[in-house]
Amino acid sequence: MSHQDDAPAEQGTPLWFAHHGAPQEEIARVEHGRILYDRDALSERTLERVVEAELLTQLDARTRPRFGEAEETAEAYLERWLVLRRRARRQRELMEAAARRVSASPPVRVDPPGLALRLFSRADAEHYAREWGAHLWELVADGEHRQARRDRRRMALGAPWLALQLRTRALLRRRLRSPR
Amino acid sequence: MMLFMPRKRSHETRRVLQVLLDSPSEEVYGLQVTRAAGLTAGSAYAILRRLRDEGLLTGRWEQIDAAEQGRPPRYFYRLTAEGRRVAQRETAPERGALHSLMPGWVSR
Repeated sequence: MSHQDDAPAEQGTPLWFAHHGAPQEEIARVEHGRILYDRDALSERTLERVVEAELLTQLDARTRPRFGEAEETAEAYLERWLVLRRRARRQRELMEAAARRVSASPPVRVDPPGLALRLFSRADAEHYAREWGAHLWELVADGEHRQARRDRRRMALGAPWLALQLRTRALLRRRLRSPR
Repeated sequence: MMLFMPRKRSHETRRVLQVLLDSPSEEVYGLQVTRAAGLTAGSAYAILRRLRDEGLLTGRWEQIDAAEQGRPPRYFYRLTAEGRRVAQRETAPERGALHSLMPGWVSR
């Protein structure tokens, strides 16, 4: 499956990878005890195959190149990186699926909630349900789910009737404290 | 003693008025206001509603085909002539401060 070489890689040695008779592909180069490669140029699939094939066993184990702060073998480093890449890909897929669901959903028709209907006139309740619905829809479409949840709560709390109620209460409290 | 005193607007209301004055298209929708003014949605919509009830703003629903655009229409707010006058008066202190910092700064 892989091109294996028991000899330790020398400085400037290219690391090759061949897969099922495909042309050999230079994926990385060892220089000064470090594996140099272009992350963007390598596909994730290639890197997965690299790890599977244990190509990096070509490296002299004694070299122990440093990656980042801690001393780490190249293989461990690549494996850790692949886990992160897979996690990022999974997140991206979930985001894309969510965006597809949003764009595929029919235009929002928001029925005013019962509370709004009791507090506003029917026309006002419908208006705000539609306006706030569009606001929340855009946040969700932008992937700002947390903000959408927060805003939904704040819209309810910031409703004018509540502001009026609180203002009245504050006024009453002041009056009760200093009756004149 | 003056019988009529112009009501004192909150800092948040002045920020919303400034956003409306600064908007290049002269029209803004709710989400834009919350983002530009840095206000929570609860405050921003309450302020917009109050200003509209006072006749300082008018509003209109965006005329789009929601199915084609893939999003619901937005509700746009615009300052009325009176609203513009009030907004300019209310935001004058901040503009004055900016003028002093940036002499070349010109308000619309």
